[in-house]
Amino acid sequence: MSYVDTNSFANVGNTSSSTFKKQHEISFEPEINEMINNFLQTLKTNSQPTSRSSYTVSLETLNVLKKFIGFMKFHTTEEFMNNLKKLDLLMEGNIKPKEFCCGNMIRRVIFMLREEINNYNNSLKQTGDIDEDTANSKPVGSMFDLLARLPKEQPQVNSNTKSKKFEIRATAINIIRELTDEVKNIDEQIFQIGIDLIHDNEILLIPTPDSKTILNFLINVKKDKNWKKRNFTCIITESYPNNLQKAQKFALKLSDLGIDTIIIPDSMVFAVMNKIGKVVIGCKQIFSNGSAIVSSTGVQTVVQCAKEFRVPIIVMAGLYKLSSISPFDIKENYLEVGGSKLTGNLLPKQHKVTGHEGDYSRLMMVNNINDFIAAEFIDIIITNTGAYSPSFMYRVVADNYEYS
Amino acid sequence: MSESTNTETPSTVQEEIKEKEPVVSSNNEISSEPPAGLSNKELKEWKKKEKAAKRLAKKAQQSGQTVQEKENEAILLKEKKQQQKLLQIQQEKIRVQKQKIKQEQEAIAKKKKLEAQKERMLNSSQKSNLFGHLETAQERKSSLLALSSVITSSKFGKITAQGLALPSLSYLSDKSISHTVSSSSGKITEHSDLNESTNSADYLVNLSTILPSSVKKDLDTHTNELSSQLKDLIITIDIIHPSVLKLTDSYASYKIVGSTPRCLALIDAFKDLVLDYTTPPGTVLNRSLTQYLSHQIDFLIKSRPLSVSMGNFIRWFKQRISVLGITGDKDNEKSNSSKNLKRKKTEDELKEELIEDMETFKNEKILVAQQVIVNTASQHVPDGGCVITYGYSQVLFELFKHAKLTEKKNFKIIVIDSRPLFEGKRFVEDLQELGFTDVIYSLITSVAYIFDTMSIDCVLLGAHSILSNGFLNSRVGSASLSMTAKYHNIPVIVCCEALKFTNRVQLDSLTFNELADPNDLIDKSEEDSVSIFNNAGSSDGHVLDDSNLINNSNDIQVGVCKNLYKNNLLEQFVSEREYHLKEQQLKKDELNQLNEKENAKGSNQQNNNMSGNNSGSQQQNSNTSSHNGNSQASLKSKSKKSKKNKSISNWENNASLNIFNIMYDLTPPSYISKIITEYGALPPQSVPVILRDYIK
Repeated sequence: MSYVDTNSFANVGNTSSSTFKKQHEISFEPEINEMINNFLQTLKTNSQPTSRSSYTVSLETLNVLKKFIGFMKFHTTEEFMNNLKKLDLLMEGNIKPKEFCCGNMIRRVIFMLREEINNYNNSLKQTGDIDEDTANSKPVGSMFDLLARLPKEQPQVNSNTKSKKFEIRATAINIIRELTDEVKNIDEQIFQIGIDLIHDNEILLIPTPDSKTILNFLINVKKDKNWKKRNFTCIITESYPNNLQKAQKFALKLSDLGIDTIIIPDSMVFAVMNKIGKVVIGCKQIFSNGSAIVSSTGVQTVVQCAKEFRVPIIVMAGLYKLSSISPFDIKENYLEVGGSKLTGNLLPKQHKVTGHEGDYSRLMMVNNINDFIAAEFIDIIITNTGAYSPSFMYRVVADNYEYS
Repeated sequence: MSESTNTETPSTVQEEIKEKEPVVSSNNEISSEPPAGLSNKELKEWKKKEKAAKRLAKKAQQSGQTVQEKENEAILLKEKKQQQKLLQIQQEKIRVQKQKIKQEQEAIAKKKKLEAQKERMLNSSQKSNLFGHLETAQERKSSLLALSSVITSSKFGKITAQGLALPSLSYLSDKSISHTVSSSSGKITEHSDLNESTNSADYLVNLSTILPSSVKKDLDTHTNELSSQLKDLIITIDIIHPSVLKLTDSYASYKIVGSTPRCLALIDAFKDLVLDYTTPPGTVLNRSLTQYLSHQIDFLIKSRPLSVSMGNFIRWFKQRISVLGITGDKDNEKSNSSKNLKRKKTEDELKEELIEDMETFKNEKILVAQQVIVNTASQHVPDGGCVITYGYSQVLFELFKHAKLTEKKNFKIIVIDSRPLFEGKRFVEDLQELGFTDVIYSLITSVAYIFDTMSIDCVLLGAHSILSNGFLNSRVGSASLSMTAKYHNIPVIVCCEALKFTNRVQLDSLTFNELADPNDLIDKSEEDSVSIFNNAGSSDGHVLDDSNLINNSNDIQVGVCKNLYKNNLLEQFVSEREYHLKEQQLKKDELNQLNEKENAKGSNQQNNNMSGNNSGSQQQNSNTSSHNGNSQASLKSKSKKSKKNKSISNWENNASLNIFNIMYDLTPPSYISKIITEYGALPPQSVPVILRDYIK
């Protein structure tokens, strides 16, 4: 039994990262290296890409980051920041099935640190002690500078920051703690915003049954006490073969709470679409142009159907899933195609007449693991900081990643 | 005396009243009266005594003592009267109370009935809020089961209420069905005759001799229409032709799927039927045959609803039969010589004529039509291009065969498939047998990805039917495919025989559809394979893949009946049976314990236990022998399932969880670029033209 796999697509994105690696030759102290390698290894070798949720990945990343900062030896603030940047490159470049949340988290930390540093410097400026603020008050203007290797800073700046005893390690760890809290507590805020979008007896279609955010949102809506009770029906697609079991578990969880739940095969989406009030999608990644990547298959078809029937599409995601990347060459860089184990599920079982196993060596099977939703399909993106139209997402990105 | 009347029922009181009147009229002989008439007697006595008192009063002037006595007596009498009145009132009260109780009871009964009705309404309305108006697969199945149980029980004596009296496995199939099949030389069933016949026998015997209580419940809880339908069917069950039985089986088990193959199989079955048919004396062939046919079709419908092609064929056939009789008579009248001889011949002749007509119908409307369609459609199969298709379509198979073998074109075929039928797998197999090397198999979920990444020349679809408003009714999922194709500006071409055109009009896929069994979506083998696939992450994938295959092959060997009723009818029966046995055992144990306490003798108990065990083991033996160990395996799986309380497999007990599995969906005409029929290629808007002008 051997089969041709279209896995080669997934490797295309690899080249850029390797060049990065060569340029920088990233390495840290041995124990840090080991830790990071372990983390990357678990992400890489995790045989089932669908089993990783961006929630766990981002929490793990924050954990690793905390340890990294704890272990890190540095002399100046700039060195500290440079180390973080190096780590970012290492993580983002090396995780082959893209895990954007790693990069998101590190970038968020860098951004927040920078803000802290700036505040500190401003306060210093206000006290009027120092005037050599030229280098320090203009830290990094854009994301390009972030990725690029910065020229060595002037020693006087370093001495300056060092002399004022800005506790960068402590602030960084505080920031990480803050972020961890944010990642963990998105549900309540999303619920507050999202509940206004659902009316009584609404039928919702949920094509991403692996989404924790959606599950919690629905549970919250059902359990809500402050508002008038609203009953709603959830139609859940199976997303066979990748997420079949998750879909069934999802449905069971909902139905246990008394929510009317209907499971439909993926092929039935079109037939059922004219009954549906809203399509609610949980996603893995939101890009700065408002498009999204979803970790279950078939969502693109669902979304097209919904557009065809003028059904609004709501995307729900925590802010930690927001990436500053503008997607380009999506099919080559971001979409993954099934591993052999997944396609193995699709193998025809036996020859009908003769009873012998057929020769399927020449049969090619395609099974993509995630789907890309273009921004034009999405009507509203609900994050824990607010609901935005996809065309506005670039501003949200700027607020969270780009220093202005 | 008063005590005796107290206990009497109101009816005796009435008797009393009745008895009073004659007694009043006849003043004489009070002594002969029964004790009930005592009051009258006393009244009269009192009157007499009054008279006597008057007389005595005259005497009393002489002595005053007697007057006092009389007065005393009178007082006593009054008291007695009062007592009687009280009694009557009490009795009336009792009567009223009893009436009240009766009324209350009736009211309670009514309430209960209402509640039961409400519950039924709730039960029926709780689940399925979209397809409540359609006949469910369960209804069909239960009626089919009930019917087949009737078939077998009528031929084999009894199904005992307690257990299954399994006679042998050689019911129907080995003798009658296989015989007829081989004699009819049906195209489809010929090569796989042996396997299929045994399988169908399995199904018929194993499942039909069992009528689990769940099925009975189904029949009880469903509407009266269903049960009355069933009664009608049961009455006519004896005249169902064996080939129709077999056909029903293969429809129900999805052995014959697809509009065209189903229609072809139906035509073949009807040929057998007409061959074997003898007109009962006193009737005409065309009338009795039509009636006979409609009984067959009533039965056939219980497997799956008729496809449009089948419906069209049946309509044509019935009309043909009616016309046949008339023309035959006319011919007879016209050909004047030797009427008697000709009339004797007519039955066989007519039959032959019918069969010939059916053959021509089959050729004209399906086989030749397909050839014509293939010839026109082959221009759309690009040499060196890529074509995408969905599920299994016989016309498309012929088309690809033609393009590959006779036109020597090289092209890539992408087969999109969907759960739960996986017809695409069969299509891929058939294509590979033809020598196609460039086949891509994928599921409906990856359609968008495929359209994004690959260059596709056109979408080719088969059809279940085409509605007169231009909608394409096809296997569920084809609408999504054609929508995606439209989104990418890729033409969608539908190949369809004109036989599948229908006058019906429909706007969405929910109003009229075929509901398949939702349990097809959660079958056990799949869960197993998924779990294996999950484990595969931790260890070596290849080995596990092999084990997966082995599992699957086992599933296939287990037989078709399991696929058909994989949901448990057999399992349910066995478990019910076991439960029953256990209960009996428990009762016996309790009895034994009582015996122990009372007698403190061990011997009785041992005997009882032994007998109980024996009976249990015997029945178990019979079970295992009859099912060839299937039951045990299924039991094991059942117990495994029941351990997971939260598993999806018992979704039916979960009031707020529902699973839909429909067979077809509607593709709007705006997605379809072209429909190719044997009358030529046309846009979907001109379907009614074909219906109006070409099909009469």
